[in-house]
Amino acid sequence: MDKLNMNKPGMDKLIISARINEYEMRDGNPNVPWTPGEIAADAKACREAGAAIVHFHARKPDGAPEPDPRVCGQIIRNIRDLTDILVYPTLGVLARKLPILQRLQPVLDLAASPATRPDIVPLCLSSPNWDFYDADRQALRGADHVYLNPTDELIACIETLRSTGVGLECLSWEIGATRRIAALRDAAILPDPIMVAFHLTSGGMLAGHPGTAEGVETHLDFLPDRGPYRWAVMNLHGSMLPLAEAIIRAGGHVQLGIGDYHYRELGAPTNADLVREIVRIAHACGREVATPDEARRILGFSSISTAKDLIA
Amino acid sequence: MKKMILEARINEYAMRGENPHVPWTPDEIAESAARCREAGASIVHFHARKPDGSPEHSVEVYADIIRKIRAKCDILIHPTLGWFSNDEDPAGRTKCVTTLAKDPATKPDFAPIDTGTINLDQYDRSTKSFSHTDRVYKNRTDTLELYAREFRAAGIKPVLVCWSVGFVRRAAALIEMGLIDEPAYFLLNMTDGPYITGHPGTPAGLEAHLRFLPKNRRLEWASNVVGGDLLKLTAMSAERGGHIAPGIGDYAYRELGYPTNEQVVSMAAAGARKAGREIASVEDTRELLGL
Repeated sequence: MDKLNMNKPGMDKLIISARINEYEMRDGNPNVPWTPGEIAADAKACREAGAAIVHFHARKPDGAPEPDPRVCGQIIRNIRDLTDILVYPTLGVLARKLPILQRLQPVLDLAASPATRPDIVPLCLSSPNWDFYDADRQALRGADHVYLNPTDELIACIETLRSTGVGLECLSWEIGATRRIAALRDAAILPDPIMVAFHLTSGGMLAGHPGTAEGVETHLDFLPDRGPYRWAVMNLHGSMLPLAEAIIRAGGHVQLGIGDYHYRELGAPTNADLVREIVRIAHACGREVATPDEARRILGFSSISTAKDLIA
Repeated sequence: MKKMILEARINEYAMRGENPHVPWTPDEIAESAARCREAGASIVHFHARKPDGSPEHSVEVYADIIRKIRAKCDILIHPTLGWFSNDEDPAGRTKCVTTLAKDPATKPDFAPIDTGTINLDQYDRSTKSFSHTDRVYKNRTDTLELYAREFRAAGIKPVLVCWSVGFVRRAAALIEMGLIDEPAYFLLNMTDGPYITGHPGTPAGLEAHLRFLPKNRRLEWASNVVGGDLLKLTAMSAERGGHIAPGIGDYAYRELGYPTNEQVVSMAAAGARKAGREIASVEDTRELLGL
């Protein structure tokens, strides 16, 4: 019955972003990809399962964070050799103690060549404390760390990225961040359409809204005038599966992967397994899933050469 | 229905270009506090100011203000830690209030803990321009734990100031850890006008805080709106069992002809009574907040 109420005219196809590794180790889920070859193969499998975007972090062979931007470039080439999925590297959560413009430099270097130019990068529109509450030990971890994103640096970042052809995803951890995004749009600093990704935090991580239906609704209450906005939800350290149907029905996009949460309750799924599950839910709701090219149009990205064009 | 606490937020770092009644000197602050007490406020929140209105952080001036307030009335005392003007040395921020606490004559009843970090930029819709874009009000989580321990040792009640849902969750974690005594006192600090940092000062903005208050804990909450009209939220705050913290430090009330603090407190008190809540005396407030 719900299906009859679905797919209001004009509702975009669902963009699924696979968040495949972050800085997760393999003790919780052995399927976390680390090497450029593993990341590219995982990206291909996610694309075949229905994802339009892959978000990844470069890793060393032992899983440690890999800061060398040349490795990131190699990963992007490897992914594009195998698939047309949109490529979404990190701005370097690893380097989150650096000023944003320094964090951005590797992206600018990668963007100089169409072969390694990222399709999309994230920007966090607030300065959350990056802490975790351990309920068992009744203690806080990460209590000395603030993820500083001053507004002047955010504006410089947006303006620097504008001429690069790299798309932007605006992360909102809190209502004030959504209001800042709306103000940046009003000031014509952020062009339409704007992708807002609501960054829920679970598993003791305190800074965002909790990974519950209430956490999502409380963000949506403050996203003005949906016209120029696209919105997506991720849940760091928590499952997206209980939230996905409501988000899909409301016109949002879904971002998930074993980088954000190990999904041990499902055994040890792969990223592609999770993408397939979201596709199944979307189809049950009657919403179609976007290809990378369709995602590019929905997000208003300039049409840049794909790897195949470059090779040809 | 329990009685409603009115906390007067009399000056913050507001200048006088808009509302000329903002108190700056110790005498002005004490006078404003006494008049707010007469109008129904049982707590006064204030910032010490230099003669030109800039932030003042000296213990002597805070002691002078507190003595002058107490010479005039029994209102409960809630000084600032200096907000963004005093966040460079996190461990030193509390020195003023913990020093004041050593003498019963100058001991504050409350001190704030802002439970997270925020960008304090402003956006002017008429000129479509940002200002103060380099301003981040930093509150590392380990310093919050430190403040909670220091305030407990000094016998000062913390006010858990929340600018976002994450702040509410972090405050709840501090209670869970046993660092904050119950009933905890939350200030749900919304922002309007040029201030884009917090939840808007609307029923939805307040509701977005209330949804995430810990349900298994004894707590009281008050609402305030930096840069906006809190009086519009008086009825909702009253009906939902909360308290309110009005004052011209947060908002100049141009549409009311730039009233004094006591006039704003009187209007809030009238709104509370209309919504069926009696106003808490100082004794009532001590009891409600477990002082």
